[in-house]
Amino acid sequence: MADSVLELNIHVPLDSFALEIKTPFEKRVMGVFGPSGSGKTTLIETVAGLRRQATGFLKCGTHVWMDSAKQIYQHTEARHIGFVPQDHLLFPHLNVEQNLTFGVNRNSNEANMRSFEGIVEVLELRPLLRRSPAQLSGGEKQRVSLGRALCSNPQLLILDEPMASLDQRLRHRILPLLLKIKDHFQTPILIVSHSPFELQALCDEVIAIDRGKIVAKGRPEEVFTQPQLYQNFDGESFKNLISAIIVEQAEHTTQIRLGNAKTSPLLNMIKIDGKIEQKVLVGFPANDVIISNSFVTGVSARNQLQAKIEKIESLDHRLIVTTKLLGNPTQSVVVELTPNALEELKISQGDEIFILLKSSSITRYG
Amino acid sequence: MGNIPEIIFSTLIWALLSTTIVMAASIPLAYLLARKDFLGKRVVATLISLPLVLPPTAVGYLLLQLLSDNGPLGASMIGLDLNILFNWKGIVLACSVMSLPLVVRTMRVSFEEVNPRLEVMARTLGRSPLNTFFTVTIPLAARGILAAMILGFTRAIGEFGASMMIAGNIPGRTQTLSSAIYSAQQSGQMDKGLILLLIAIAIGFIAVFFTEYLSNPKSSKREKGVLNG
Repeated sequence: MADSVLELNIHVPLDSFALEIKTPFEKRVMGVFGPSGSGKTTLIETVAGLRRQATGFLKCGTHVWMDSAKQIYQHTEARHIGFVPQDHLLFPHLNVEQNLTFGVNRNSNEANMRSFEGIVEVLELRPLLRRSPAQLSGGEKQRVSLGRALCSNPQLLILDEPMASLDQRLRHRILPLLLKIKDHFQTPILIVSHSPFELQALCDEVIAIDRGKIVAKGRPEEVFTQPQLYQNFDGESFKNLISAIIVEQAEHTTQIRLGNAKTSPLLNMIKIDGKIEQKVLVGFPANDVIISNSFVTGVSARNQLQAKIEKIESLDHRLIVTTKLLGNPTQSVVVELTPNALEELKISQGDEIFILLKSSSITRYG
Repeated sequence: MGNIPEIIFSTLIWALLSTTIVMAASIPLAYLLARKDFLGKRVVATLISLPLVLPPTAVGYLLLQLLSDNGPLGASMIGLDLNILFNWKGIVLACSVMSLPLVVRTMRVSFEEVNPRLEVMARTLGRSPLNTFFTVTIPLAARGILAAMILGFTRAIGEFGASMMIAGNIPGRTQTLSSAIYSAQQSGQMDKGLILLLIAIAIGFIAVFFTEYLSNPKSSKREKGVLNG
């Protein structure tokens, strides 16, 4: 069997419950979702080697970090972790450049230099190098903290609530940066968050934990459409997040393609900046989507996509309908409906439907 | 009675020696007290602080008892004459014991003020605990450590009671700035007493002024402003 990216089989006793996580992660960008007090922090501390009382088995790539049965326990400094804490934790007595190079890097000097330059470039840190951490804004500190973790050439990058400490405006700026890191560097990333949006935007695989146990696992859209996890969007509706490519720029609108294939569905949205073929991340709330059982004419919504109903789950007085787009079957779109609407439309699992979406409902996130 | 330059010189040398010994002992002690939990921590902390609250003469008397020929650390007990009493080594010992509590307490606070998560951060970046101590903890506590050192040094310069008990006040051998002031006053040498007094004030002023500066330099105020803003 191929090595998983991260393999966890850990047991950590806590005051009111025990953290027991047994799962392999197969994808490069992994997420851990859970409300506060669910054991998320304990989980990352265990992975980082900061919980000496943890027992079990822990492997990252080919490196065994902990194997209680064989009395193996790698200390934090031997694990090569790039940890980016919520509060950045920059060393106040060092300037930005010294912070970036503080990590012990096992690369050759030349490779080191190359990766340093690359990281400074990607994170746009050059103008900050001589500054002291006290002279940086919150967003700049975040970038330096990310850069410092990457400069140590880690085997695993751990991001603890990467957007929690930032205000709304900065969040929209850090997300594209995190996406850029995901694309630019091949480092496996473990993201811990209480925000489904963050995990959905970044992760390929997510586990949801509660009181120390895994309650769901899968692709983010699979996990967050489960009824017990659905209502975690900070009071907002579930957001469909889709990566797309700009295909046409018109005077007032931008046309994007949802997927790489020529036949992938197209969407029109209110004009955004960007070149043709540029990758973007867009999203729209599940409760802004209209479903029809046939193609609709004489309607203001600019987008009608064909999709197939995959699953229908009920939650309170709503239905959560997960659909797969025809033309890009890997892409699902979640729609919120009332039970009456479903009855009236006479649709059920497996049926093909049309998804109607206003251009103005679509927001760009990255 | 020894001459003034000689008194000043030997006082400074003895205080420096004592400060060196005290610093070497205080850094690990203060760090342990600040960061680790161990059995008997309170007892250790209390014992270290004891000289601060005891009459200096009592501490001197205790050292005298410990180091006298038949004492627990005496020549006949350990089979080796440490030859500490009534020479310069006695002065250095008395100064060290009396300044240790002050130095450890000040330094402990400065270690406690270093965010332990920054130390954890250094570990995740591949630094060993010892390396972390020297590259993160010490630099971040540096101001407090320096302040503690100055306090220890001035306490050593001013030491009188305990040194009188174990080293005496022998001109040319164990006379210090403070015991020389005492002798000058006792023997009516007012001019010499006055000069020694002025020198003591000058040393004290420089030390306290520097400590004040360390605890509140202008640059750190500016940094705080940026942080809060």
